[in-house]
Amino acid sequence: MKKITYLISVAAVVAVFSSCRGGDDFTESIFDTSVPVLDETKATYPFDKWLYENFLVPYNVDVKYRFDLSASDMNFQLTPADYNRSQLLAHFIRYLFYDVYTKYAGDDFMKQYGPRIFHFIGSSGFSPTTGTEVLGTASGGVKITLYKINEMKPYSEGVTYTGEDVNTLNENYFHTMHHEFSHILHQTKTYPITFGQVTSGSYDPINWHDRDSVWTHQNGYVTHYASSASFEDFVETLSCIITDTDHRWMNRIINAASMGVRQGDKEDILVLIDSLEINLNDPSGHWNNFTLYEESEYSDETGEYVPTKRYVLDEHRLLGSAYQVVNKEATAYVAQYKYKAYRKFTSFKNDFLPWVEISTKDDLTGINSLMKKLDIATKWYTENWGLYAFTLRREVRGRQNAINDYLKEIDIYELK
Amino acid sequence: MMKKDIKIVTMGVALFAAMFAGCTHFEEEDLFSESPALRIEHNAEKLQGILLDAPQGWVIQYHTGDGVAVFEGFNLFARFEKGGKVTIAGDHRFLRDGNAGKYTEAASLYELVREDGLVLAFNTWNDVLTPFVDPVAYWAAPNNLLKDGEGMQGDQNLVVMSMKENEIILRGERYDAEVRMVKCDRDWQTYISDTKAMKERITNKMINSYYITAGNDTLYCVGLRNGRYRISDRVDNPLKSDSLSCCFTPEGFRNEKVDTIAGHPFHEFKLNEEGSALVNEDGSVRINAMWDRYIVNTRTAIWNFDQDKLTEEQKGLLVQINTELKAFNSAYSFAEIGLGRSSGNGAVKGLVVTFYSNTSKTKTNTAGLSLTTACPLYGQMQISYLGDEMTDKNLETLNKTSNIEAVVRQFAATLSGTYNMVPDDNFLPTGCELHAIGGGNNYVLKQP
Repeated sequence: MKKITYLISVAAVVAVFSSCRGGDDFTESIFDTSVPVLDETKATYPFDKWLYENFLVPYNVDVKYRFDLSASDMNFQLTPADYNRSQLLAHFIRYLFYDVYTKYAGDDFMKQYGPRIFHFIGSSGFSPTTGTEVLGTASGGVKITLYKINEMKPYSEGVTYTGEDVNTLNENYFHTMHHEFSHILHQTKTYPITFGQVTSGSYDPINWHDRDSVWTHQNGYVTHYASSASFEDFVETLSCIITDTDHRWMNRIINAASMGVRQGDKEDILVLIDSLEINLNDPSGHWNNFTLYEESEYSDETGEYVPTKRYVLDEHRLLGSAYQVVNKEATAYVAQYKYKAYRKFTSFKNDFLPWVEISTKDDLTGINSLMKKLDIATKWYTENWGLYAFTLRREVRGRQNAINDYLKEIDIYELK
Repeated sequence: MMKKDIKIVTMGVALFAAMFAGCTHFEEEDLFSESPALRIEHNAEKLQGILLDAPQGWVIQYHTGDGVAVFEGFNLFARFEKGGKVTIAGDHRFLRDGNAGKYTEAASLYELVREDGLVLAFNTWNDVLTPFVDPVAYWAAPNNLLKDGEGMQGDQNLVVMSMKENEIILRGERYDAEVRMVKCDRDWQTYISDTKAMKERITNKMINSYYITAGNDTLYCVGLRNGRYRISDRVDNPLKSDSLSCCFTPEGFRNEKVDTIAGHPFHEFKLNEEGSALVNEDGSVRINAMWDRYIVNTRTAIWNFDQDKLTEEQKGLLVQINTELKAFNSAYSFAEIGLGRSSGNGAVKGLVVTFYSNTSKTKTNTAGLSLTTACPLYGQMQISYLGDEMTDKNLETLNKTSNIEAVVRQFAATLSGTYNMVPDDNFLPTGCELHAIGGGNNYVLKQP
């Protein structure tokens, strides 16, 4: 009962606090953390104590690892998170999120701007109508809901996290968290209107999910979801800098540049790659051994395959090859797309970039727009928050590389 | 206008009655003595006490869905601890990680949530319970039965509808399925094996259809063995049918929700003392397996006549059949005669002669004569022989160099009549007495 009262009071204080953010000088925790909220008789006491000491006291954050139906999205059928995985994720959030921001923005930063509640959900939020899958939501800068917790690799004695496991962490949770947290930041200090003007004609809040990754990159977006609205584009851009792998970034750059660049873009691309700390000379990097394919699409009017006038990478070719449409005569299914190998590249820097055309077309967006938006977003980040997105990327990647050492240090508890 | 007034008055009376009925289980002094919040708090304390006071834990009769049953009911087991830990066990077919159908225990957390009412929430993942709730991607939904991201439409948040010392009735907060918890009276594995034994006793793969009789009404159900059965107004080509889920118990089975048939309770059924039928709480509804149709319409087994119970005339005919067989082939000899389906080309359903086809009597074959058998009333067999029924190829072949067909036809003629059947088991008979209605010889049928 005491705990309930306490949480209610936290909510009330948060409500008051959120209306007067900015300019205050905080020292220790802004809330009264002396109220006892721990019950030693609980089966979860050791973990609750850890949460108390690592989230509630320093950041006034309530990590709700118990499923709360009334606080969840009733549009989705959802499951609770697994206890073991919840503990592991809480540790990772501390290690890969709070400690990172605190290191570069100071002790008060996350106390002031960090979310107040995390709610862990075991499953995805499947939307049967759109076929989309919700991975995370943020409510008014107060609560971040993370889904799909039960797909994490669970903790066991001696467990090791592979690069693939870390990628899954980024894709399912940390990309979402940086995304949602960036919303909190831009809702506190508005981002420049010029950001949304770069690709202002092509945002689509309704049908963004129908766009494929090649389209989004070639039209100047980091992800599909970024093309839904400028504020989503803004936070996706920042989150991708911090969490996306070299592989994804290079795919993005190759896709976005393949249709042509503006004068000076090639030099800027190299600067961007350097900022992302991608080793262009890495012989195992796919960017030094890839093929571009010319794509054509079946026309049900003519029965012929018509060029879409875009080059795609092998990963997209494999996806696109699976689509089928009814043929012109309506007698059978045929492949919607066909792909023809156009050119093989053995080096990004010495082969691909020289091949890329310098274009003067008015409607060219692609890498040029992408880099303009990256520039606006990272400058805003630095000027308003003193944070360097690429530094955060380096810090996060360093920690991820050491994640197996970190796993040896943590305690995951069984239920008592 | 008049109609509208009547409707409003009727609704008002109904509302008042509903409010009153909803309160009747409270003592008078409880009605207004506590605030709703305090009442929920006290109910939570009471429920916590009941949950913990179960030395052998609880049986959870768990159901999913929000209407027509898609899945069967599941027996789960739970032991609640004071610190919020619950251990849930089960052996259902949706257990994951290679554990489908294997007894599995899993620990997780529970909480008594105070909302508008009291909610028993299982609020961390549990390997035994939560697969029923998991939406999974629609393409991976169990059996692809629900293709909309809703998984099996199970609930982990269960609204407490009523509680007694030994029984808690809950309802899924999202999908509304009823879940019942009863204190377990034996260890869980024993409950599972006892329940399985009962299920095997009252259901089998051969007979999965039943008569439901309530007074003068008879309904039919198919598929009880699956734990999800169809209830209908007719055996064949029903005009109306409904799908219900049930949980098997050590005594019988129990449907998900309280229901009635012709005003009689249709909810929980137990095997009666004679082991002949399943009966409801007050004995007014009986469920009988369709053993009579199983015998009459048998498609595989041959129900042989006990030759000692035949008439002298019939015994004499069997001697003649043996003679005719030897006339065809000296190595052949008579073995059995019965009702069923013959084998070989042009197989017929009717009277079947089984004969040895070698002198060492290690090989058998059959010859058949079509007979019309029917089930005019529950437990009755009608045998009709008109004289022009067809034979199968084997009997036709034997008859080429013998006179066996005529003898078999004489035997068939002696069987015509209607009989009351008395099975040796009412759920899966292996033998049956035929008592001639209106006089005549009685017979005994047995499966080989």
